[in-house]
Amino acid sequence: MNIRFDKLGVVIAAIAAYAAFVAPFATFRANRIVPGQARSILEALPTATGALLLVIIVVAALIALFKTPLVLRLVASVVALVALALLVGVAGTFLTPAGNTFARISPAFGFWILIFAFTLLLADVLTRLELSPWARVGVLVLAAAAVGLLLVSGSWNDLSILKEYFNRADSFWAEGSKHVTLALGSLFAAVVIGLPLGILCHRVEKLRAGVLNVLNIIQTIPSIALFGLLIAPLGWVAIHVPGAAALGIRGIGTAPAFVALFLYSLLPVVANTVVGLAGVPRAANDAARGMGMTDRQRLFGVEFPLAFPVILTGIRIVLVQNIGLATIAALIGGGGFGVFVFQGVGQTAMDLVLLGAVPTVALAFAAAIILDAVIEMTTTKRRAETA
Amino acid sequence: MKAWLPALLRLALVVLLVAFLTNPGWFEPLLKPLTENNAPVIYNQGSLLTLTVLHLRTVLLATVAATIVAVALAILVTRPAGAEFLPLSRSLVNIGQTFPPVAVLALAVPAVGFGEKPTLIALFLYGLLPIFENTLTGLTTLPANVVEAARGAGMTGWQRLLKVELPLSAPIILGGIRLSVVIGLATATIGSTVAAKTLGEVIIAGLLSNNLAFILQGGLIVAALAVLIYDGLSAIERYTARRMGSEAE
Amino acid sequence: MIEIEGITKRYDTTTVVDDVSMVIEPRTIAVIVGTSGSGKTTLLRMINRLVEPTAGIIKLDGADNRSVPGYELRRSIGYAIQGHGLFPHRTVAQNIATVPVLLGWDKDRINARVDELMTLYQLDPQAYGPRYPHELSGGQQQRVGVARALAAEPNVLLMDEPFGALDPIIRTKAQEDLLAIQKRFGTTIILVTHDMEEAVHMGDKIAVMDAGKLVQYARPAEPAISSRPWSAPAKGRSGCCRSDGCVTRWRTAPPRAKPSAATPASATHWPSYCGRAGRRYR
Repeated sequence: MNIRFDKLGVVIAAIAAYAAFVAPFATFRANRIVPGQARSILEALPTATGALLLVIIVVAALIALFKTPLVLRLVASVVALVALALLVGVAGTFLTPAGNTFARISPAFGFWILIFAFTLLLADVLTRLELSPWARVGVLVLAAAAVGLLLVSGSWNDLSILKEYFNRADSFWAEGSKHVTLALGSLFAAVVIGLPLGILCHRVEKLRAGVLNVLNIIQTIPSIALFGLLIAPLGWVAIHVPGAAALGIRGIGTAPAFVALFLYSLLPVVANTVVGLAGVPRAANDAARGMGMTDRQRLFGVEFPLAFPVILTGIRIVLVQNIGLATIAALIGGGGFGVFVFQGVGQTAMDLVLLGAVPTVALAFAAAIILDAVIEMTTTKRRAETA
Repeated sequence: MKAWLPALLRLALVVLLVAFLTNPGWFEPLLKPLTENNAPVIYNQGSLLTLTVLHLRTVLLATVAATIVAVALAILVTRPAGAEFLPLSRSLVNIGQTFPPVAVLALAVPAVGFGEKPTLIALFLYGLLPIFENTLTGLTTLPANVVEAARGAGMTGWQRLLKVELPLSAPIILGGIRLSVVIGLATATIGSTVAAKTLGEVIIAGLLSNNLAFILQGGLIVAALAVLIYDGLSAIERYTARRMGSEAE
Repeated sequence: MIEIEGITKRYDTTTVVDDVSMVIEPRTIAVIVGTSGSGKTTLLRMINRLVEPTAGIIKLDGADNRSVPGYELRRSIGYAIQGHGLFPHRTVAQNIATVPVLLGWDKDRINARVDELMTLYQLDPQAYGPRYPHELSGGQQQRVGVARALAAEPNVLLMDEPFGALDPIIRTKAQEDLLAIQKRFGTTIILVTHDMEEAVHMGDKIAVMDAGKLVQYARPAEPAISSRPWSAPAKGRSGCCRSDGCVTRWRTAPPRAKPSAATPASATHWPSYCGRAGRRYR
């Protein structure tokens, strides 16, 4: 038989070998802020379980190393990831001294790069499978369900990040919903204002350069500065405009963060609307006019549907960007997952940083996958129709 | 708009920026109304000029490193030997772009501690993506007959890369570097939340002491730098593109 | 002399070039014609090893073309393609100097050669040398493309639809220029085209490819070629025959084989588009 190495597999196997045998699997700390002590896989898990995990890693790495069928690689990466996810929870329980509530067990460098290695393998398989948009959303839902199941089952309860969570479960969900409201709300506002503005810029050439230049310059203002600069005008509005304070408009807090995110969101929405409308074939427009459509009918019947995928791409950019930027809102009292990130940085409690960062990354990632799938669906549908 | 107007505006911006950085005192009356209770008007815990230089140095270091690594990676995956990494690298870039800069910054702290290092790492990682993506676009959308002519003329793989493929992709690669620098300039300010010496320090000092003048001066210096650098790099980009007879966007 | 012996190219299961053998005499022009997908371009590209053959040998002046690395082989063979493929980031002079620079010629020699070729192609070296390709007209770009292919004084010049992107008038001029230059340098030229008229006009010998096979290889006046039911040419532009029997004009040498007794020249069947008597060849 002709045995050949898979180039990516060589990289994955090398990373996995280093992570499994050299790097620490878990960190043990006597309390949440002291420096930790490293634990290898065999130290962090009961002997039999540790050996089982090592066997799984070695087999999966070997499957990655050689040229093997895609299905086998898929199974190997999923089994390895599930085993790692389950057993890191076991390590948490195993390493925590009985009855000790101060000790913190967190996944260490080795665990993270093992996850990275097998995610790489999984990503490679999924890329090569060229999944349809629906299938990609399906995979995302499955992965989310699996993580949710693990969280509910309590098998990760002894890990430090969840201990941080249990200490502030209420505020976690409050900040989380604030984060989502900020990101989605500012996106919604940007679409409501940005779409007509983009259409206007498309129709009125004189406006175009000016509006886009102003929006471009807004983008160059660093986020923390823009957040800060809005404190004053909004504070003024809250005091002087009757009813504004009742609506929740205040100098600090959610309002300036919302306005800042809205301002950042305008450029991608407006610019993509302009680009999308400019890309509508002249022939389609002429035909529409020739058939006696009014400007309004032409806009909604021809131009807008044709420009839709491009506008959607702008919305994707905005959503992913906003989910990330909303973390900064915490600096001006605007809430969101950033609260945990900056608290964690302030207390040098990395588990707390993770509690804020991991959901943010997960949200942004999910938003990107879903919107990418939607964009692909609208464009392929179009192609199928014209073919 | 007259052709000289943008140039004049830019020149005025440069003069203003230099004047503010070297003699911030001149502008005190302008910013005075923004402060309350006789708070200091001009940032007083360090020189603005020094912070600006440090800010630019951080962005420059990170961008140079990101450019080298990203271009090298893009070259690797577009060679026959690395071709099988191409689809995966595209997916990874896509995934990578969903990581918020703050998260990258905060997650780098446990690995390297506070200060300039986590900022450099975050800027480097975040800068990689636009440059990699653009270099990839440049190298994979070369005009086929030009590459064919280069092979036909007897250029080796290296000669093709250095003499034809990279120079032809230069405008697009520069576009990636420009994006990466502008993102970097803004992200570097966040670096001050993990104690990096950048202009973010001024803004954060303003946020903490409720001093609007600080926030404004920090923010405007960064914005002015970004606008000027963006314009400068766009000009170089247009120059290289025009020489080849194609218009950059 | 170029000897092609049993050359075959297969991609997976499809055979693009199927067991082609032919000999191209030095200092002549061989034209390969065929429809798209007939394998003519692949055959050409195997001569300078832009494509490596699956089977067979190609010898250049007796030496196997695999005896040197591919890139060295290609530096010794001129190559001109449709749409010229000029390097947009280099000046006209730098474009023409490409292969001489690769070969490490000294500066004076390169400059002299570039000037010589540009003058030959009626492009003022002072005025056009420092320009970029996009600043030239289509015809000028094409001339620079051929000049670049000839820069290192190759014995052999491969051309793939070199005039394909030109409009009819400029194309005729380019063809005439090429014939003049071939005469001057004595270069062996292999030219690929789908235009039968061009083939008859340019070729000392014409090779007809169809579905990967070489179906004919003969002089234009030979019955095998002349009686072939050609796919109709795009436009009946230039005349190519004389009223007294449709004999193509021979440029480099008179035809060695006179029409045989069995098929007198007057009996050959040129396609109707050759009917405009003596339009160009008086």
